[in-house]
Amino acid sequence: MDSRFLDIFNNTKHDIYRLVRIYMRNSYDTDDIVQNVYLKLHKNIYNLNDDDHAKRWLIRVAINECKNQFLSNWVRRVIPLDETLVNEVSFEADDKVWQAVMSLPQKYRIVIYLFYYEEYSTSEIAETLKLKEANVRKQLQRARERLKTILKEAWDNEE
Amino acid sequence: MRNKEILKKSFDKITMPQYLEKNILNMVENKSNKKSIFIKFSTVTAVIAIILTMGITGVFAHSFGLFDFLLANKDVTPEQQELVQQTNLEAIVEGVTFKSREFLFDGNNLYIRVEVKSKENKFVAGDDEVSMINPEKYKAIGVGLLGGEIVHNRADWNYEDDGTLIYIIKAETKSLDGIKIRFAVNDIDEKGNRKSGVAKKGEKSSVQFTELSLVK
Repeated sequence: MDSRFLDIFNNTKHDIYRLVRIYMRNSYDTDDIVQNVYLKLHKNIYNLNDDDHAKRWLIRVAINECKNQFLSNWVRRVIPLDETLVNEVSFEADDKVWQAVMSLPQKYRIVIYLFYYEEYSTSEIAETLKLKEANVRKQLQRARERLKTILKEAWDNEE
Repeated sequence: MRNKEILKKSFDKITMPQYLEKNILNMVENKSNKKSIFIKFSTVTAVIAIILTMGITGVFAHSFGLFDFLLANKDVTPEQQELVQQTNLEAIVEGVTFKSREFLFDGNNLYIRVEVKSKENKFVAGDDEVSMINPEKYKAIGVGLLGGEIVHNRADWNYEDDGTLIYIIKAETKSLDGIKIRFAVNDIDEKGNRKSGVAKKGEKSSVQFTELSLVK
């Protein structure tokens, strides 16, 4: 296997998975989309200058793939036939911060992730999401307000 | 700074599962476009009425066919249309009629189209939809492939203008032997969640289902 692909994959796999998971909210769509994203990386790897460029490219591709999934009329999900079927058991049920973020509308979840986790500036988020920077700031502010309401004292109001 | 820390701490717990990592590396290694989405099936606790007919029919009418879906999703090429086989699977569960008239098997993947209709009950497919409706008036539908060599499968669905629910179920398998399709109907609890299929002694289970063999 191409060592450059492996390097980029190993350095970005968790971040890209997390981003798509936050966007899509479920692991089934996430799996599908993340696979597509890395297949695209494999096809385009020699057009990417360095690891930083590759990661930013992957984030843009992942967001586009998520948007495309939402545009489809078809809903892709797995349906448990009873509660003994499927559904990953994980920390998620107990993690209040994660639950709070995932309860936000999709547009707020993504700006929160890009701003706080990827440490993108609002202008970089605007460029990635193809939005006006003022809109990103507004979304970020509303997302913070919602998180404060949900998380109460766990959220720092000083920001 | 504190907010960033608590968010990072929470987000860091989400990591790519090993099965997905392995799958991606295998795909890249093989330069294949094979995808997989995972469901694990296990035992369900109750069974109810079955109407089963199995055979071959040359006529099936619908507005959005299996091949249309696969073509639109780039899962197959036009040349693979000849792989679509006709079948006649039908069951009624809790007043909901499930019908399947066609499937496609390419030696690695099995796709089957299922129509769901009901005159007696209103129904929804996905849990996201379940949570948005009046639970007392609706049933939740579940369709999946199991048995044989199947480990994973996924469901895509859509509603036609007349309210008919169309499923395309995909499963990864090398053989059709022993494969069954499960049609299930769940009750929905007051919070909008599918009720557990586990019933107390003497009570009716809140999930009713039937399983039909894909081929005999």
